[in-house]
Amino acid sequence: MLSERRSNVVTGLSFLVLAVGVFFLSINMNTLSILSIGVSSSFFPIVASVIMFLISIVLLYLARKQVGNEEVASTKEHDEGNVKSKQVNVGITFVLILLYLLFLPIIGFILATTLYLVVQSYLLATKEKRNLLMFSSLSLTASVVIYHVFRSGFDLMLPVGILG
Amino acid sequence: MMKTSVKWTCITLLVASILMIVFTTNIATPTFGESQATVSEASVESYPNQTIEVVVPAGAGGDTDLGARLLSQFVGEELGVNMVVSNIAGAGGSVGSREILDARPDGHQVLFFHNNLLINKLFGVSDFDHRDYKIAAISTFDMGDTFIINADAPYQDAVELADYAVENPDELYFGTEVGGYTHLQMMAFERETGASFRLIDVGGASDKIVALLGDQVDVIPIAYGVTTDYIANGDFSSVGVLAEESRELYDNTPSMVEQGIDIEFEKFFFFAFPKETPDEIVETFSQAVKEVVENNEEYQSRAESYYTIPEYLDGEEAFEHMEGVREYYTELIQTLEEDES
Amino acid sequence: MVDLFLNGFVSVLNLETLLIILIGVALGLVFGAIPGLTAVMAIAICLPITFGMEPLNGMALLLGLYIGGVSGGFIPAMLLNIPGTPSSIATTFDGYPMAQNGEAGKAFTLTIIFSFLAGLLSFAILIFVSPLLASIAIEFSPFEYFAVTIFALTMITSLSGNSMLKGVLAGCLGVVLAMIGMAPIDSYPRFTFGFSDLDAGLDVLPVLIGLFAISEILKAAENKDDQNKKRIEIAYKLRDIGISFREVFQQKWNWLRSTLIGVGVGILPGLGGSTANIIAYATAKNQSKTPEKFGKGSPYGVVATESSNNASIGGALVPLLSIGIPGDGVTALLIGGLMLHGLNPGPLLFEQHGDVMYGIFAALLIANAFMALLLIIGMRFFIRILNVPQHLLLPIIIVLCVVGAFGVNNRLFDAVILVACGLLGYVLIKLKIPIMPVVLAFILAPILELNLRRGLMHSNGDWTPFVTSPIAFVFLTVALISVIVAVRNNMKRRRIVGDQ
Repeated sequence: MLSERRSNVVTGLSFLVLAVGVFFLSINMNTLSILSIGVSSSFFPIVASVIMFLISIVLLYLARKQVGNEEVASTKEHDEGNVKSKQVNVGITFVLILLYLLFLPIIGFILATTLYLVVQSYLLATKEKRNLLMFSSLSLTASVVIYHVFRSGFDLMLPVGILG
Repeated sequence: MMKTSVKWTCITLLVASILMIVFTTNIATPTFGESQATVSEASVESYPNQTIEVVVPAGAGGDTDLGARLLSQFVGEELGVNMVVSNIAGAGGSVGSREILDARPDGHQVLFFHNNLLINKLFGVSDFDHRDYKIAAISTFDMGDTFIINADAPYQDAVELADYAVENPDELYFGTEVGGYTHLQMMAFERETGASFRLIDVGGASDKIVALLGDQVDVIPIAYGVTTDYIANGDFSSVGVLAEESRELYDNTPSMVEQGIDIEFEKFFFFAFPKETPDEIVETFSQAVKEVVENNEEYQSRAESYYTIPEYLDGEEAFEHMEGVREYYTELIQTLEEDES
Repeated sequence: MVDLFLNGFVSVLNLETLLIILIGVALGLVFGAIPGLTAVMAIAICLPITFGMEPLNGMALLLGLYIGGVSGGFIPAMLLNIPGTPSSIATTFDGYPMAQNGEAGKAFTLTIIFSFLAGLLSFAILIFVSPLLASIAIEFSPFEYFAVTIFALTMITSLSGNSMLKGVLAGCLGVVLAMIGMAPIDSYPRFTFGFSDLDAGLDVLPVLIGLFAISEILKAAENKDDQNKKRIEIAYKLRDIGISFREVFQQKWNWLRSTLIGVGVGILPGLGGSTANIIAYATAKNQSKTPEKFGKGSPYGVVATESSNNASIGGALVPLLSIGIPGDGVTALLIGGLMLHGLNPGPLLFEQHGDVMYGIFAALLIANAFMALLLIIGMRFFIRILNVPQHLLLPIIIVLCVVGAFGVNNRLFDAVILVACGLLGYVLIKLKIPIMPVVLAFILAPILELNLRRGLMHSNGDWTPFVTSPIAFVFLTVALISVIVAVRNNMKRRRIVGDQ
């Protein structure tokens, strides 16, 4: 976990960037004048960006004052190696889900889901629990069952892919 | 090591699943290298051989969705396959319509929509219209579009309403959906009669009823069917339907044309396929729609309970009809732009 | 009236109708419990099946689905910290911690009892005072809607956790997310960067499920080692389901307040269950003498959300059955169901089809009872979900979320949004930014904007009606006061922390 101060700084900076971006995109909106009685489509985004801008500044200012009393706590929290391997897990999981979505329309629901389930289960399981035969049989069963329940039962047109 | 029983359970599940895949999907017609643009001879002949997806570019509930669900039931029976309605709502229907534009042209995905396909392009919401599809058929009409007013208003027919709005320009609040079908109706009425309304955005059909009940607006353009109860109740009355002639389905409400105001807005519902779809497939589908619309009495009575009129136009007639409508709408929007400048 | 009511019950009390209601409720619960699938979808799929049924049986099926669909959402919310439907977002706040403390049985029992009672009261309100309530709802013009939405938005202050500044930032983020897509009224494409897929904007469901479910799974990937052990311990403790009468009885005011909030919010089109549960939760927290216990497994939080979402069903049916106005997707489909059988929704519905209408009331009450019954029977089975090893369960849940997101609009694009929002949710958790304000602002901002612009169209650009309308004035004043109070409390807390 990030320290209070670091999280405030990161939050402040990222919202500052977002606020500026939204603001400049908004003031360039050209909307039909006859339909913009009172306010136009850019009104809400501009209001939100101004509020974000102001609060981010306040947050950064407060974080500056926090420097002294929290410095000690933040160094203690770091347990470098462990944190890194955990972040790698999150990254792989995220990429895995994206790949799953990418392949879904190409190779079809059953195949893509089975592959995804096997790999994701393997990743999430601890070493002693990894069992490819069990994972693949359960994954295949789960994807076949989900596919048929949703496609035939609930009329949801899941992608068929190359099996169609 | 794993217990033997667990191992065998796993293997059994594996085999069972594979068997299920083999028996329920038709691997016999592989589609590996098939390009988007062509559909093989064999699949044209065997059409339809799998579930047909009817894309409705509007949310569940509402006239397009309900009409599509009703029709799909019967046309599916006629074709001998399952027909499934998928709602792809958003951006005035342009998101769902685009889905079919890019769909595989094998006849297993079809668009069901109405006039808004044309209007979206004219208002710049989308960059395509009926010309970018292969129209299979028009299946249904709603000829009961009408202007509804409170029953105690000082004007009770279309001519009185027009006169009032000419004498008191910008006084009457006209509740509509800006950039939608009913917005055009207001513009047409203004152009035809010289009347002038205050344009108010209130939203969909039910929002309009609430707005009129709550006296937030004075006139609402709406389908006759959803207001019958209020008319019977004595809350509302209709100044006339926007059709060529009055009909029994809409309680013989006199039409605008009969009252001497020449505006006609008939909502039509159509089926459309991607442009590259083979003619044979479109024809097969169109014939099934024709059979249901013209000969299936159960369908016809159900359709009338939604206050729609089952009437079939084949692909060519439908396209011609839409061309005519497009011309009319274009003209209307041009006059609006001239007023602006 | 009593006569009509008895007749209504007689027409429902036959094996066929009862069975139809039971199937409807059961299927609805399944849809509600699977993240991403909702009551709207269940009803849309089953609508064609009702073509061939008697009018009353058809409606009984659809209403059973509705009640089940709204009720089932708490199951994954409590067990997995993943809301099954938008109506049970706030259930995760205290339901999940309760389950983690080994009190899943108690949380389930409380939910079932108060969902049932809230349903009962809201249907009673529907049956006896709906014409009155509907006539009030009609008085709501854009000005009043704007004020009510502003009021609901101020709940952000009570949902911000420790830092109100971050809460407001999160709210702004929600507003920005909601602005993506075509603007209301002039259809100007905002922040779409030319992607036509973004024209329709982001749908509530993928955003919500992404922020809660996918982020939860990313968190699990991070802590895979220590969570497996913990889960086994919790599952072991679940066996005691017991709950004392006192524990139920002390919820009475909380229940009553939350139910009334649910009915009130449910009546207003566009708000509904997804907003009701959040408002009820925030109000319960504000009214509580021990607000610090909220978020750590307080039964009050669970009762508040689970009463309000079931109560919103009765609320949503008020305008539908009394004046024929649908407020959301579900009620629009119900209208379709009625029209199909020649029942024209509107003010004359009761006069012309009183028999069917009272049958519908009876069906509602029976469906409510079936809901409780099925949940009581199913409880022990649901809890077993926790016995499934996490590395097998979570991937399947991701797949179900993807299927659910796909089902929203039948396109994979919504699944991409789901995953993107999952990453966003994960980052927000890491930065200690509360997620709730994002969700609330995301749901409310479009309503706020639409009504502001419609109101100004009405008044020709004049802002004064927003304060001169009595109802709007009251809501805006209350909103202002609640913000001031919240800011003051926040300052006080800060000072206490500072002194220490």
